[in-house]
Amino acid sequence: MIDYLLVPDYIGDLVVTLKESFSKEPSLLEIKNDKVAIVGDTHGAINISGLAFSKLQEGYCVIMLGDLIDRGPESLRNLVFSMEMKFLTERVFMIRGNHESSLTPPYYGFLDELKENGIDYLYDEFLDMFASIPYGILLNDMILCLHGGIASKGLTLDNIRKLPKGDIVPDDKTAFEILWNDPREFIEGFLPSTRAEGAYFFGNDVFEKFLENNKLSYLIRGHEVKMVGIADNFNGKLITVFSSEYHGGKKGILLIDHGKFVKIIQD
Amino acid sequence: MWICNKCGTENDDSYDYCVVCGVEKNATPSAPPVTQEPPKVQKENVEASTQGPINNSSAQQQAPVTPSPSASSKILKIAIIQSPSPELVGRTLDLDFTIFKTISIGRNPENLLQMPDGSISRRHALIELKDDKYIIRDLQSTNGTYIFESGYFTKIEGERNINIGDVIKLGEGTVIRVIQ
Repeated sequence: MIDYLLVPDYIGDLVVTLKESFSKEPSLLEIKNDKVAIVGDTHGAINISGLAFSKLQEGYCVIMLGDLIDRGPESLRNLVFSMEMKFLTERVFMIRGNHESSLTPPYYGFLDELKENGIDYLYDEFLDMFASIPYGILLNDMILCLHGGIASKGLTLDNIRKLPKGDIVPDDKTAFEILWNDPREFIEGFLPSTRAEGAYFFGNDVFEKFLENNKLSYLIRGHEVKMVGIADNFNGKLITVFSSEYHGGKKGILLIDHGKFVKIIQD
Repeated sequence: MWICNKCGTENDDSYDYCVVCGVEKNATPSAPPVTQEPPKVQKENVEASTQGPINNSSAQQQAPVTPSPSASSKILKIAIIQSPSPELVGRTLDLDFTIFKTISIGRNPENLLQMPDGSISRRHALIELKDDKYIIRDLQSTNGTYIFESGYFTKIEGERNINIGDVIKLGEGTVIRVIQ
């Protein structure tokens, strides 16, 4: 039986179509919806992506926080499945993760998967598509969704709106930090991260200032392994959703239903 | 070199306390034995929901002169800012110097503070209570011990006083902060 999610021509068409679709979206996508299902880094966990998409039937829209690829064994199928769902419905939204970049796929599995399926000739097309995915989603004017976190040089919502698309690394420092930064208790300001040069840990003081200056109530992000699936920082104003099977912990999906937060945790 | 009377570890002459078990250099074999119970060193607290009582400066700016932790309590409280083990991030540890004057940090289990990080050496660094002050000393580790100052992690050569608010990087993947 043919696995249509791995048919080269189908994937090729979908990549081109989705690249065009993402290119039309602004760097900061603005959504208003009372029922939202948010899924964090899946890294190939196609069953968790499927669980999030099952919420479409219940009237939810779905936000994917990036890092669909690398690490897990089915990252290509997970990505193609999610791209297909985005193509089929206008209620699926994605933001870019640090793995949707030229930096990690050669080392963390995605490029190898393309080679195994004989479609590594599509690698550059994938990178172009990744580079056209928005960096953030502003939900109901009060919740910001980013992959990693806030950036160190005076980040505002307007800065995110102005981030250039098509930057495959990205080289833009603010864009890079949005994809790579992490929150930390017990620090103030920004501290160089051990993840990568140019990435930072950020403390509660600068986070609170960012929320206040931009009239936001919450930041919802992924990026960081949370063995409990969903974890809060900074008095509950920052929520990390992590949905990867590869890392061996619980997998989280966060539902927002008319302002009420509901955590779905899969063992 | 001197050999520890308690655990038999060979120690460099420059160390006054055994890097593995913390027993004093010239202690006789009948010196107070290390408690048979697990040392108090690794008493973990649950993740704090608020920041620790640390200085108010931005971590990217030059660190101001900060008070030394009070040696009278003989407990140095540290927070784990980053670790390759996600479950350790955000936790605090009480390093209890009541029994040991020296607490060894490293990857191997014989260290009093064992850190699960492949970039940390087997015997990586020591924290000592010396002349009523806490100091940290790198044990010629492969990937170094660093202190955050003036916006950068600066390698610690030899020994260095520890102050409240200091951010210390061990190897490439572990960052701790002195919070009390």
